Amino acid sequence: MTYDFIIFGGTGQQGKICARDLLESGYSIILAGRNKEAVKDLLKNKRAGFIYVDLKNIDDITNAIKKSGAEIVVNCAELTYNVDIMKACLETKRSCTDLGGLQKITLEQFKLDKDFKKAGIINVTGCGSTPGIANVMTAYAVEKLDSIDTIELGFVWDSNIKKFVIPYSMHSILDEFTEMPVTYHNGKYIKENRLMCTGTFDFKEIGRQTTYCIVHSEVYTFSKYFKKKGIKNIHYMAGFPEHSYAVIKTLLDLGFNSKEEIEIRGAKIKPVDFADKVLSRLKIPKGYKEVENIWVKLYGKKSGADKQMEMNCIVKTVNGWEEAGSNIDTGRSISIMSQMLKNGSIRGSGVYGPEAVVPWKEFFGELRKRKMFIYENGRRIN
Amino acid sequence: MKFVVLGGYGIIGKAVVSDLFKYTKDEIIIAGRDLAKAKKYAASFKSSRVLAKEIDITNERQTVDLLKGSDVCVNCVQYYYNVQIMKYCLKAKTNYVDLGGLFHETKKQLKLDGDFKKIGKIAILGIGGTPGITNVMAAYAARLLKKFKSIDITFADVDYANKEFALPYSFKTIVDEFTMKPAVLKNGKLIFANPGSGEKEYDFGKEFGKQKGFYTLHSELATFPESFDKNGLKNCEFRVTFDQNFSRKIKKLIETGFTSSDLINFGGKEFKIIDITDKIMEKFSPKLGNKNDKELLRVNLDNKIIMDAVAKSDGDSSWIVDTGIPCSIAAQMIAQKRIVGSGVLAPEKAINPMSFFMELRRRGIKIFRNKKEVK
Repeated sequence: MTYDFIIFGGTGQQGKICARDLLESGYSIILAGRNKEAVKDLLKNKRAGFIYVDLKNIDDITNAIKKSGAEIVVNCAELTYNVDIMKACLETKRSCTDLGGLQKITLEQFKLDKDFKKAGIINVTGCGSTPGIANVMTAYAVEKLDSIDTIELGFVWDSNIKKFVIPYSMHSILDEFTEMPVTYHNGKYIKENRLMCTGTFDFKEIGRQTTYCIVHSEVYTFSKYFKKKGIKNIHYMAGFPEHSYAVIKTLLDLGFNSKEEIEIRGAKIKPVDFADKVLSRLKIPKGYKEVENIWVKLYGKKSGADKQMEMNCIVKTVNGWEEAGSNIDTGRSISIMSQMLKNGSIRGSGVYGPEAVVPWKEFFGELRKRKMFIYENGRRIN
Repeated sequence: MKFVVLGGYGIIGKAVVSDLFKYTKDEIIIAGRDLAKAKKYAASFKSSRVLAKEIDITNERQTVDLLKGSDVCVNCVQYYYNVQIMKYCLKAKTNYVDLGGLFHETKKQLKLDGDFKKIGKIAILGIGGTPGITNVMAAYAARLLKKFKSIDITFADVDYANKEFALPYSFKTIVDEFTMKPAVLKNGKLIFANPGSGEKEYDFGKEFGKQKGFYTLHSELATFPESFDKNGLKNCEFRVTFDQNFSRKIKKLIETGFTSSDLINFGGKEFKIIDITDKIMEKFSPKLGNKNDKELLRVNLDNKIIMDAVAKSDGDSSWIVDTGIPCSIAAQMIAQKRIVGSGVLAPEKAINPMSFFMELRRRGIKIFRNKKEVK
């Protein structure tokens, strides 16, 4: 059977959300991963298939793409595999989407731009919530300004039950808090001292929350795409509710983010892998609901006058998607963008951030259908 | 005279052996599963009166044979084996001391009282720092007060070398303290409270500062209600104290499943989650030879008499000092017939406080009554 999409990391949290969205949109999908058991519910659908793939083996990736016959590759795996998956796409001449590569890997991905252009295929990197929705919202707002000086953006979230639930990939979270944050400051990238780079603000639907500068791909892609508008400063700031941040902070302080293997009874274990495994066992409490606010603040000029804009995307736990909480904004966004790639709404060749290639009107419309609402200066626009 | 120290090359065992060597002229046998470790430690004394013996404590005949002819068996192995080892002592007709049985094991041990009486030998349960020094301090204060309603027991550690985050003792024991249901005597009734409940702030003065405590399971509660019933004791509580930042972190690990005994698979092998966490936490372990720490043990009777014991590092961490030394002192007092009687006894019933305090003082552990040193 030939599938419409192949999803790498298809057995993970975001991969499963994306798969369900694609199936509900009428497409056929093949899930590539190692743990078939984790997707047994999805596989009840006749339009869904499974293929065993070890992402550590690039030939495995290439063969899986070939076998699937899929036109579009959707990469929901850990970001460390982004470059290899892109190389497999070059080999098989397939366009692809992914969930972003933070700072370092994003830079590596953009190095493949020429190759992608030559092959006539496209990679859209950072197609989740942030990067993803945040980038498209920013592109929308930047269009309305003559020039732009500063962009601050990030996410904040909270839950009704104050119990720790994995917010998104633990590997990513621990990485984001381990690496020193990079900001764009007066036209230059600088490494910040995390302790100095925090702020407490009021956020729509969330209330007061403390945010911390973290490494994120938008800092790089915005500086690239909005240069002609005069962008000077970009800050990315993440907010976690106190009950969740306390756990993350404990793990960081006690070294559970370490990638240095420990040895126990002859086995070598990375503390970060162990932490991920232990936390994955936590059950989502009954009645648990999340709210997320993806926010962008822009400071620029319009017709010679200072102008400030604020964009928000508010995402709440949706009936029928309770297990996914506010993570629907990542897994379902990449589904939307992958569909737009397939139906020709996203065009071109090369490596791009969503802010450069995703038409906002169609994208915001698809978000609305999924109960994710976009606000411009407090007014809903989708 | 002859002492057999089971687990004599372990952290506390070493401190016991070293004290026995320093303060007696007697024969000391370091016994345990690992002969190499036992030999290595024995050799460090360069003396023919310290010997190493390989012993498997699950092997009855072997252990009984070893114990025969010795004056005191000093048990410094994991408390799970306490009852077993006491039964060996009964067969070998040897006196016995240990470091405590975390309440439940202690209760089982007390049932051997009649058997020890029959052979005319004595067993003292829980004679380290706490339980141990705390029990003897309570006995001392009880003799002065005669009638009292409450005993509040706690302890505090200060580690000047490691202010950020340091484990004062084994991670697994700390987890037990945060998770096992603590015994509390309330209005004359022994109840089991919720783990982590009973929060209270203590002010330990300038050196140890203010620290928050909460109920934990401890052996004192297994014997105090009966020992001090005649004095009118109605309420007795034991709290462990940690600084808040420390507690918060341990609690987070517990809440998120890092201390579970469930099995987890890594590379085809199964591991207990807590064993891997324990391994990761190893880097925060108490450092032997840490010279900057102090420990305070406190027993408060009706707010009328507050007894404090203060131990400082002597090259070993203070908690090793105040756990190993009292155990060695008790063993010596038994061997020298300075403790008389027979049966299975708690320290508050067996030991004469003044001569015990004097021995502690000779070794640098000071006892205070309402802030005045007891001399």
